[in-house]
Amino acid sequence: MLVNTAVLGPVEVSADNIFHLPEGLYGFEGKSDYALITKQDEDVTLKWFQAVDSSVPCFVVFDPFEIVEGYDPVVEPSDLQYLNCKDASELLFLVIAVVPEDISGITVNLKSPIVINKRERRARQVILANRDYPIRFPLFPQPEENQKQ
Amino acid sequence: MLVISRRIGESFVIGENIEATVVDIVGEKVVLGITAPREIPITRIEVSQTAEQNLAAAASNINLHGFARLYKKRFPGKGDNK
Repeated sequence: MLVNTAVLGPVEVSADNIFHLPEGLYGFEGKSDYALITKQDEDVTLKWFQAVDSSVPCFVVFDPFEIVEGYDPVVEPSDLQYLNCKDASELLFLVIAVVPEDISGITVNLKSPIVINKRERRARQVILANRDYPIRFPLFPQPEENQKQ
Repeated sequence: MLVISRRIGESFVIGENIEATVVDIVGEKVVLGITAPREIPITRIEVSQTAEQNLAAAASNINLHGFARLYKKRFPGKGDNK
């Protein structure tokens, strides 16, 4: 389907990259359908989670397993049931980034990933049971900023 | 911050019409039961923090110009974020 993206203009997206979130995302409860958009830039795959029926909201997202060594999400049984998850292998995790003007200050929310059942293309933003995953995890740690907040 | 300690089955009140009871303690988790008027929203703090982050994320600098270079420097050898 043709999706009007905030970043790349109209993009044709295959059905397996369109996901339904019956409850929307926290703060965006009214938007239920999103497309996962990717673009190659210097061998790096950039990803966006884009609402399909309007160009906003659009989120920069990452595969948390790519950016955090040993990421080991513990999803509550009620969330797995909601997603009709039969096997962990059918799940796809995406974490949402906040990108400031200075891109090196980018943070990702490791505590509340979007969890997608690829088989059903049904998704939910879940709050993980893991205690140590921050909501604002800096992707590019800056030594002098370690003490901030 | 006010700190109070309660045993299982004991309660405390907030204002006139919010009552919280320690229902159970399972390992490290405390299970609370809360009675409050319908108009008082009660959510885990991570939920409101996540909503706040999502709003900030949607309003952020999403075009990612210059990101690939930083990413490759941070994750050498992992150039392909597939």
